Amino acid sequence: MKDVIGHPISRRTFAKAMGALGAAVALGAEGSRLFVDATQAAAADGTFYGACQICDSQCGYKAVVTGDHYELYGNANDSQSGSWGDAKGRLCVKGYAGPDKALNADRVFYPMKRTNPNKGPNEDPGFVKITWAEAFNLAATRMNETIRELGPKGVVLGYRGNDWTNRFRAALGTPNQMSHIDTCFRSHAFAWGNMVLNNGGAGRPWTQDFGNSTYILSFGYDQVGKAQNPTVQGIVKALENGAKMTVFDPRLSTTAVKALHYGGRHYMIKPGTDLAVMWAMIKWIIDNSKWDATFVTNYVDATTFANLQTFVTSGAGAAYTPAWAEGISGVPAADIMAVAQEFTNNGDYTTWNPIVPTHKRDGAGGPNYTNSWRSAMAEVILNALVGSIDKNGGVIPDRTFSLKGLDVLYAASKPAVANDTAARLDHGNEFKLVTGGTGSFSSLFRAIVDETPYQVGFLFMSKYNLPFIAPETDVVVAAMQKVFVVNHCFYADEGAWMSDLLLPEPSSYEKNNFLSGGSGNFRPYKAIAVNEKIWTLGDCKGIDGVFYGLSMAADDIANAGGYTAACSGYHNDATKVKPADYPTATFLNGRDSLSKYFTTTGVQGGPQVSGGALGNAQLADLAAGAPANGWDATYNSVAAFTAAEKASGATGPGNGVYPTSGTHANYSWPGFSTKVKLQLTSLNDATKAPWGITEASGFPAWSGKREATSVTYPFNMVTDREPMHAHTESKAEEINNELSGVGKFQMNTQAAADLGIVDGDTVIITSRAGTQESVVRTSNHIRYDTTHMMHGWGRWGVSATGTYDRTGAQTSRGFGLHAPEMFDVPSANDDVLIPSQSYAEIVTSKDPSMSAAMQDVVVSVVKK
Amino acid sequence: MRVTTLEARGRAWLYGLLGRVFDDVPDAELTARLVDESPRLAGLARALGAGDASIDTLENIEVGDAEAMGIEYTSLFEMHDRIYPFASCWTGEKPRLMREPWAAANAFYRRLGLGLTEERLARADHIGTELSFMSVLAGRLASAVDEAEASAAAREFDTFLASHVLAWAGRFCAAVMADRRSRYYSAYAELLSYALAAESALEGEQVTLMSTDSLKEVGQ
Repeated sequence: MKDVIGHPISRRTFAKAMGALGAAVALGAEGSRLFVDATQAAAADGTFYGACQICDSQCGYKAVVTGDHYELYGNANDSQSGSWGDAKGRLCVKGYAGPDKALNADRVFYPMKRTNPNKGPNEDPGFVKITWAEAFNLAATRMNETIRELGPKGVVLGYRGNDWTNRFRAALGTPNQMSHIDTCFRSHAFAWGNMVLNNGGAGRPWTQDFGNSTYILSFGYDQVGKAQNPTVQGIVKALENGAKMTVFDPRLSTTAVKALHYGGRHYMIKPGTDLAVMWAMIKWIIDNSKWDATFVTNYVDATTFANLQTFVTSGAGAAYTPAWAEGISGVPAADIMAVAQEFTNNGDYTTWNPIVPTHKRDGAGGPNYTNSWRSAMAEVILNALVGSIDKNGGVIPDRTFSLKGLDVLYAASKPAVANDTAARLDHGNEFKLVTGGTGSFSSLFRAIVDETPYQVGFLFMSKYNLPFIAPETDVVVAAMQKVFVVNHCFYADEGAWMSDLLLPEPSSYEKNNFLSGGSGNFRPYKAIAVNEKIWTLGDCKGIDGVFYGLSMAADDIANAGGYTAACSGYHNDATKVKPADYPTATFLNGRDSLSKYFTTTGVQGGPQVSGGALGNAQLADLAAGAPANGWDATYNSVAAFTAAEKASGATGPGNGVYPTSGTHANYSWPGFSTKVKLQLTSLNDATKAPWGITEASGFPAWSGKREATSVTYPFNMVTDREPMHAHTESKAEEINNELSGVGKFQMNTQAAADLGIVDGDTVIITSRAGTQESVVRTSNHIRYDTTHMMHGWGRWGVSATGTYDRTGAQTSRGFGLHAPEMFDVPSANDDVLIPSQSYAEIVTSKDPSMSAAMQDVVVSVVKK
Repeated sequence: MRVTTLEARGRAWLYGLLGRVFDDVPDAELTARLVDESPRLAGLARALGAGDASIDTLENIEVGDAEAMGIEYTSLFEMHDRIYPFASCWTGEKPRLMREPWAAANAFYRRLGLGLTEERLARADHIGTELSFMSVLAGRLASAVDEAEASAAAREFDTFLASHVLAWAGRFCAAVMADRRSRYYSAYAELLSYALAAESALEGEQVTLMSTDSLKEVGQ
């Protein structure tokens, strides 16, 4: 279709004009500058093996790309997409839609800097595209200015760290690395890390062998509702094989529907009371001697088990009867006992593989409520009592190949810096039962705004759309207005709008890397998956490349005298910072040659590292240890591995994942050399937390949630994610949005009717933190006293007033903090309603996991 | 299309320059060039019937406008609520990169012995790339050594124009011209739209044109 515009003009007039023009100009090569000879041109066609990184399950896939057409297949050789050995070769809806993320036209493709010094939701940032060199120089300059004025601690780095990025932090000397895990799963990390994994609260197991489970006892766990491939397929496989599932959830979740469909149970439990039911079940198991005696005898710390018996029979826990739990939770006492009996198979574990699964924002274990660290501990106790830890069908501590750490392979050349006690902005260093280095999004932004305990001036963030990921959006916005924000981001989203410098991040389809085990494995055996680059889009860099470039720019400034001068005072200061959570690494104490520590050679400006994934040195190290470590010695480099994969064909050794299958032997986890603790005496250690003794008994005694409903705020509000979306990283994807539909706020039909509200109305939701509008969905599938909002959702109307959309029509979208969103999906942002926490408030709550209490919210609802 | 060598040379110049304008934020060299060529560009716009505002912008551009042009370019084509400069974003229900127009453009380049590097490949259907290719084709026509070569070059020019550029560039130009953020690029978009309007006409005939208002009814 020809659809040009303008006033009619004759061809002759145009030809005449062109002729006159041609007579006046030389024939140059203006147009050909973009093109190369076809024999040297790139093509996107091919077959690519990859590991889906839309979520952390890392399901293997095979992509077949022909021109503008791509097809994605689950890798049948991978236990993830192959349905736990069933070789069905499937991805989830998020995985199949994943390439749409790469091809999204609203991405940030190039570095950009803000030109409008005024920053706010209603301030057009006036971004201008710049080169990477300009971007690095600007960032390094502002970083150095901050260090000179405020010291290294004035620099805050926000990302999920790896060895290399942690070096960067240590090299700078700031203790302030922050990530989102307090809003996500740190209560699990606290409980599993201290009771089972013996890692000081640094992490938790992610692999749960649902496919072999016989009984799934779910406290708010709705991974079926989130459509995470391995868990969904595993749970469905278990249910089809006759497993039973009981779900406690204030909503009829997708998992609850599955449970009922297969003859299980669902209880609409009162929000934040899961711990009471857990304790009643623990007491029932102890009172009736229904624990797995073999597991408890062999793998559980005997003293803590004996103390648990005493606690629930003659101690404070003696009060935790089913009747008591019914009074708190609303779950009938008789049902609690019946579930406990089912869960334990009445004490016969011969062929019984029960599990209490955990993930992130579960009703029980995640950082939803101020008491979630307690319920996370109670979940560990339940799993231990039924012997489900490292048992097929249970929770399996992650396995990885034996890899030398990057600090061993590429040792930094300078001596270690003595530990110090420099205070973190979020006081994380005072919380000794979790890894403080992961930070607190709940308190970070308020600390920035209040300049308490100190002022910061430079904030680097990677992968986070801050106004939609951290509690209390107004506080986050105020914090972003206060400091220079470097945003390593993917979309031109709200966080980008509020930033000073944008650094484009590539999708996983634009990177070559290897992914191995660890927290993102989900496989019951050790494995490595290859991820091949499919496309090159824009000019993007991963975080390692960003930090390398930033290091080089900082060195350039140092060579000119500026950086050294900026830092010299700090060099001579006795309070040099070595982050306390890296006590043994050989980090550095001089930042006048920052790039030394971000290379593989230790030479300033040396070869760039790739820290987030496996590199050649690690593969060579694996090969050198073959077969002791289970690795094929022929795979001694990335090139060798990928070449073998390509050559292997359909029946080859790997087809994208190595090995293609594996087994797990019950209780084979080496970590059992330290037995599972059912009690944490560290809770009685006044030096472990800023408030002193947390819990004298060492057990997670009953304590309610932070926020109770009231006349002012009569509804609980819980949050969740939709099955078709992966965090906030897919909410710009049209396929997912079409599946998602409209309306992100749910309330009970009768509760709504009592307020004169019907389905589809626009309502105003208010908490003590803020106010939000949304279209309401009414349903009987949620408790009367409970409402629900999708987490991390919503959109600002990112459109300058009066602009036009791509059809030329004037847009009706407004712009403002609480305006309708960008992509025609009316929705609300729960973070507006979730209170942030000051350090004082966290101390008052006595939460050793320093969680964000994302669901500990009460709200009022009125019709607009 | 039957054109003279001079006409072809004029096209090569015009589309080459506009290809650069729309391809990226202006560097110092491009800005200086636009200043040098401002009389010529303004004169052309005037001859084609462009509006006074656009003529004034084209005529009075200064070297010091580079920064403002860069901000405008970024705002219009790279950031929030952008006007997508890719053909693939104008042909489907939703804006997406590397769709059929991208593949077709890339195939066209290859058929004529050209292609793009890996870094450039995803931009095969970018307005800057397509205009630059029109410049290449016009240049081949201008430098043809015989009638057969000239006819072949003219045929390829017409085919690419009709099957690729005219399929979306008019709506793209209209969106740029209508956007309140646009000042500099509105002028270049208006010049481009008039050129494309003329190109789309059969020789000696008046072009059937669409108004800005009618674009709203297209509902792309």
